[in-house]
Amino acid sequence: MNDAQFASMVRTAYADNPSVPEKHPLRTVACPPLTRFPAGVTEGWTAEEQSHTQACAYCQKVTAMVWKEQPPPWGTMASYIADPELCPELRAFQIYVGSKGRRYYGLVRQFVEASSTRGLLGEALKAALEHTAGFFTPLPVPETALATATEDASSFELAKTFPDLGVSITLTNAPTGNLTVSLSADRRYGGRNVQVTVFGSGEPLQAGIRLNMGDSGAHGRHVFGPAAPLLNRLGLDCLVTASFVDD
Amino acid sequence: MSARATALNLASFGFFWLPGSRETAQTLRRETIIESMESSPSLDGASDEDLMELYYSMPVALGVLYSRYFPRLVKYAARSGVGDDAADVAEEVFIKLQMTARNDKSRFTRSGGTFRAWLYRIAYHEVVTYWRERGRVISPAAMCSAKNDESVDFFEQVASDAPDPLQELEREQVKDSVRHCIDSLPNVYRQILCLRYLDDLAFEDIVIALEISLGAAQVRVHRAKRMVAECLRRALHLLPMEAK
Repeated sequence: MNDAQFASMVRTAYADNPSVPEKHPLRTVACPPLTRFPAGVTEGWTAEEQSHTQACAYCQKVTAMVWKEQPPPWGTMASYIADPELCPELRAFQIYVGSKGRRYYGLVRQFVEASSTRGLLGEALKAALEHTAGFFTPLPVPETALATATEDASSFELAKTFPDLGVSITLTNAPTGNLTVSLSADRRYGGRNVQVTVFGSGEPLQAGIRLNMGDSGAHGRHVFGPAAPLLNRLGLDCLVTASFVDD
Repeated sequence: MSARATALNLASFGFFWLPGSRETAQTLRRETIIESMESSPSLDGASDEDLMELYYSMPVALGVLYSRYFPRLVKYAARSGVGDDAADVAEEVFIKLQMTARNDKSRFTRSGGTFRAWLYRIAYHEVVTYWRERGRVISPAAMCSAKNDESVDFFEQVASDAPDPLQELEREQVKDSVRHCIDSLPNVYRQILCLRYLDDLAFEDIVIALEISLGAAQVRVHRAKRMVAECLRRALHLLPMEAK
């Protein structure tokens, strides 16, 4: 039997298999087009779209699919952890946290628990989140865990800017080998105190930083210490948060 | 009918026209494709690669690709053992395709290979991820060491032993046997056999989809056919090899 005959045999054998759907069986005529989801989920829905997507099983499922490619804002996840019943995207979060979101869930949960010990619960937490910058980031493998790594390879600079808050956070492993966090903010923040926390798999790193006025705005920095042991303590991913503590 | 009118028509099927950004290097090609669509009643006749190219400026083009491939991907996922979640996996392939395209607009054109090869590559990874999340690991390299030095074509023998296997296919139990033999193959073999003979992927596309070498792909298909042959021999009560 030659290849063509074999192919014919296989196709014949599967020819009468039950037909498959032309589209996802949960999809309704009211659902946004599939091509709308990446932008809708990451940049925001219209009010009309949102009222549908939050209540629709298919849309919640696809929302979780988009989050697998681009994580949801960590603050949204914090709201979900703090009070799942009030989360408008509850079903999507449940699906997401049950799969790839597990990676970030533990980090955000630490933030929520730390907030609750400071009495930030429910609405107070939501209000605090509006004055908190934060981002997820993968961390480089520490030098000690990779025998062939060079000193240059282990140095890094992870920066994130939050235009709405007027704040930039930079986490660096300087050539000196120290893990350092630097903050730059608008001039209006001069003299303010910021609590920076880096959540990882181990004990979080914490620093209280006062923003001092400079020529180009308010700045502050804190040196946590030698990077290698600290990166080992944090693991592969971390959540960096910066909260204005005297608001 | 203009391409824009076609797109607007397709919007009624649930796909939007959303203007996207244009990059100089690819704009001319896209406009050429759009011009060729002006004389065409629909996007249905466009190639997969042209539709993917159009997607960046005309997201509705993805709707045609979805119509072409969603059912096939559902079947592919189902054959990979995903079962009831096959439609979810297929939907996820299209989300991942879009997210990849958003982040790297030249990804598909730059990397070579057909659109179909890339789509199945994404699908393959989605299936692997699906099983990994459920604690089952599918190793693509699991059986790469299969020997290819056997001079005997086992399937050839099954074919000659059977009265006439192709005619026998008319009988329901023989069809069942073929399906059973393929469905019970180890995943690494079932997958490549189905990609080759049910999804019609060329070996060059399989190489991209499964991220393996051409030699490995050929060895796996050869070995999968032998395993099916041996299984069919048992199922059809043919004489064992030693008795010949």
